[in-house]
Amino acid sequence: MNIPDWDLTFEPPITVFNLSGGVSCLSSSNGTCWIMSPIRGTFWTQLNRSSPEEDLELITPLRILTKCHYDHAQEIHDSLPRTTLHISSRQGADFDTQQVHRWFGLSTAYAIQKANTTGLRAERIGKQILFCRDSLYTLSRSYMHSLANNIGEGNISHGEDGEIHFISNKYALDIGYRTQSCLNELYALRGLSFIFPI
Amino acid sequence: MYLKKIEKISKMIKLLQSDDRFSLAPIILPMLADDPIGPIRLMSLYRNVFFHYVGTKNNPMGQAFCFRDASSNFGRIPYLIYPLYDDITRLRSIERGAPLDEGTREEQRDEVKRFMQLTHYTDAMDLCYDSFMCLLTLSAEIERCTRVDSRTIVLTDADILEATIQHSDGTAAHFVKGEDGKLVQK
Repeated sequence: MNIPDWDLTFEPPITVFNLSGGVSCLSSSNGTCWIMSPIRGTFWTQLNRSSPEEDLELITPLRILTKCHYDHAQEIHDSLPRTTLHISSRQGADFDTQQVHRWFGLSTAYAIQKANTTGLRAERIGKQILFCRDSLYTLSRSYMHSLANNIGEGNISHGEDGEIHFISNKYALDIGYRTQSCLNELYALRGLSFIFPI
Repeated sequence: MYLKKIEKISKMIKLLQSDDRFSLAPIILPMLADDPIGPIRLMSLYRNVFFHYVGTKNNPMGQAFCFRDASSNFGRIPYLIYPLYDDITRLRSIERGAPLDEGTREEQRDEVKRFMQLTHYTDAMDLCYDSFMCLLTLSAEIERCTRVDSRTIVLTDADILEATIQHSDGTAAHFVKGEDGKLVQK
């Protein structure tokens, strides 16, 4: 992927780190790495790192929430990229994916035992984990678009006058809708987990 | 409806406290706690209030977000906060059916001012991420407690009659079972 005006080349595979607050970081295998937080006039900050995680973790109070993986440049336009949660805790890097596989496997085990209803419930939990992850990714995209568009349109001030400015527009409505949607998915996962027979 | 929900969470708490299969109960119980409110309980409260009563109105001003600057080695990085209402007592009373527009107009204006001047906000996306992590911990513990071995079914070429495989570069290949039983690309 080339950006000729900037004389930059992103060599696949490419990883996009989605941080809290709508900030993201695009990192490619050839070491080109950009933090994408669009400040008016200067849209990018170049890092020159192939693995920027340690640098990103120093940006307080932001956290890395999800990661999107692109094996080919054309996938960057995919609205549903391969997304994983960024988990630095003791559960391990692919905790969510492992959980999906475990629940699907449990479903198969119950089906073999002819416990079909329990098997369906296990499968449903596995699917719900996927829904939650996708919903969280959609919410982070909504943050990203709101950040980019509002700064691009000059809609924000950074509180130079010491005041915090609140904005209520179509982007706020979109984040609200995505938040409610994400909370609904999480609540469904809670409910399904609570009623699973053990 | 509300009582039923409380009953469900209480049941789970009792199970975690009494069943010795839950080795992570000390970690999970605070997530479900009422006081101080745990992440799963908080997520449920916001969900119930948003879903049943206030829609997407996330704070006393309606739908609104603000920007802050993060400090980093690369200079200031602006980021977005979608702040959720912080008055848990008020949210709980709304969840129980209290009217949304309590207080005089002046009291409501003061509440908006108070909220706008807070130094720390609960951000919607941060809350969703933290809740999801907690729910994954809970579901992993439940899955472990079933003590049933997870099974996978491996499909071989012999099981497939016809298949279309899409590669990650967008190209697709179609296969059908040949006379010798092997998959042949069409």
